[in-house]
Amino acid sequence: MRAYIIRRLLLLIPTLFLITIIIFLLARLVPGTAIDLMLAQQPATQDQIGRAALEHELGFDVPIHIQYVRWIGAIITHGDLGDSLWSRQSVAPNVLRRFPISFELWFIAILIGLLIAIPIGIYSAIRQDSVGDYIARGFAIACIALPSFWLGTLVMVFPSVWWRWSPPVEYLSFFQNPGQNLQMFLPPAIILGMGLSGMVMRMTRTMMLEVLRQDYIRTAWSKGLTEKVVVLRHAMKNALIPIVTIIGLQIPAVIGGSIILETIFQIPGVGRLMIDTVFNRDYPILQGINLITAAIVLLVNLGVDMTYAYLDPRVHYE
Amino acid sequence: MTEPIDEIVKKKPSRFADFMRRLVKEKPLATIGGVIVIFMFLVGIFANFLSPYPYDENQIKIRLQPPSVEHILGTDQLGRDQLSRIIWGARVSMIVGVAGAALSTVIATLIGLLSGFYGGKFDIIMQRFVDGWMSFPALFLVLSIMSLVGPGLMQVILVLGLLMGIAQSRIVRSAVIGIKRNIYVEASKAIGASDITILIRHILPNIMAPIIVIFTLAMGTAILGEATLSFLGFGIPPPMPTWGSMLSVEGRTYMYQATWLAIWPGVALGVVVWGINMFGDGLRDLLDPRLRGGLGRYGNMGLGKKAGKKAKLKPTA
Repeated sequence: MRAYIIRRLLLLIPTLFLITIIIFLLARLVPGTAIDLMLAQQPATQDQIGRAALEHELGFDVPIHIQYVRWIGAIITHGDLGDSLWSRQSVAPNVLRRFPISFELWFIAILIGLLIAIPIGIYSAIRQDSVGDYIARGFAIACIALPSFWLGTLVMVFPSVWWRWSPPVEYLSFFQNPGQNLQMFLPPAIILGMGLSGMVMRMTRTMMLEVLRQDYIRTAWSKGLTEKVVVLRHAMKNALIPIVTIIGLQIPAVIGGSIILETIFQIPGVGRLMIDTVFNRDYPILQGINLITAAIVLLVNLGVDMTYAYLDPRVHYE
Repeated sequence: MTEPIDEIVKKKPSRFADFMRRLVKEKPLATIGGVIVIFMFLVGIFANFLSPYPYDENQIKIRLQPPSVEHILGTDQLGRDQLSRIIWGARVSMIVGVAGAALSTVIATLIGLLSGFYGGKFDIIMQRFVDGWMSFPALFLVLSIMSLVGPGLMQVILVLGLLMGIAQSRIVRSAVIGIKRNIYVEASKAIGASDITILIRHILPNIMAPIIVIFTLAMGTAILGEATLSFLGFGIPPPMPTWGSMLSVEGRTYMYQATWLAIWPGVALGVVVWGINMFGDGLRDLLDPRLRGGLGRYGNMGLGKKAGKKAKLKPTA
């Protein structure tokens, strides 16, 4: 098992390498746009810095592959993601500070998504074609179809109009003020979790239906086991592998969705930083966010693969 | 002797008619979804005849008016008729949906065909690239690219099409790998057919079902993607109304006084995306049992009396 984990971690290196190329090229496909923006925004009173000087200062005057080597070299040698083009501050601490905030949002959202999806998915399967099943499936499709930014807007507008309540806009960490923190995070997390739950609910239902028809489930019933034991202990564990897979596949969607909800609910996380930097084309920050997020997604995928061995004793990793 | 054969040929309904009959009979929700999609298309195509007012007619005097007889869905902060803007928004959604889905389907088919058919090193390199591409949150990627190419209808279509196409090439690839093992592919290789002939004559027709499903579902994703981008201010610039931009952050300050502004664009978007998803799901069930997400009718057999009876009564799928 340990050898397998190490091999998988080593395999992450080429993938991450490819990702750095994609990230880097994405940011440089249209070169000079940040420079144009800076030159245009220079205060007229200041001494006008020439384009060439600015390009030299920011390291844009060398060929693109050398720029790439410089960037990747700094990351490998001392974990330096470069400096922001605008504030000239180091990117890494700036970006890393934002991640715990977003992480809380993702965590609550995934938790809520699973708490909605798995019980309803199981219910929907063991009471197939009942009224409850139809309602559950309709709800699942609605979760997928309703855009999160609209739900977010409704949550901002209507409680404020009806009850004069709106989520707090000042960020305080959970340890500083749990009440205010949860008031701020719960509404976006529920919306984000709903989007996740639609997919997971459908997968849970499908897999449970399949497993419940297996012979060993009939055996379990004929042994006189209660419904609870048959469904939760015998069926659920065997249905879990595809469900865990789909949860893993949905993680990027949760992270992406947090951009929108952080914007609406004014949570100062990675998504907000992303929007701000996209507006002023701050490539180093953009590259930093993309790289760290991609690494998180890859690690989550690895974690998903690891859980297979736990869920199914027949799966061995060597 | 030839007459009866002719009769038999005549009696057999066309594939399309047969398909439509099955859709309506077996998938009522998908049919409703299809009707919603067609309705949106009609609204989009005839937007200039249907909308009671021009979408950009500012009338400050009647700004933020609640729904009334003249303005059924009320007016916005510039006094523009909201119903008209939603009708014009349908046109944008339709264009982005169709064009984005078409582009993504072409890209997915090209990558999937080549990667699946040739395999080997090309496939390995291509798939690692797709892996890397898919390990980003899609929205991060879209925003990064949109910040480079700038807002606009064309840019939105290109970016969404490219992004979805690369992700969906996986589905085409796995379908191609399944087909190319068939004996008729080997046979045409044996008689000396070129790769292009095999791809176009034998493989492409056999993967039409997943391609149609990909196209349909991509339409929903493209529409939602455009709305999200416009909502964030990276999509289609004003004054062109889109459902996403009507809900955008700038408009939100007015929604507290005029709650109708927050409701209707979202309802339009939700209903259309719901319709497309239902239609696509139904299509998938009918066209391609291999891609089927759910268990379909046969899955019900032996699971309780009611479902089993149904399956026995109608054994043909």
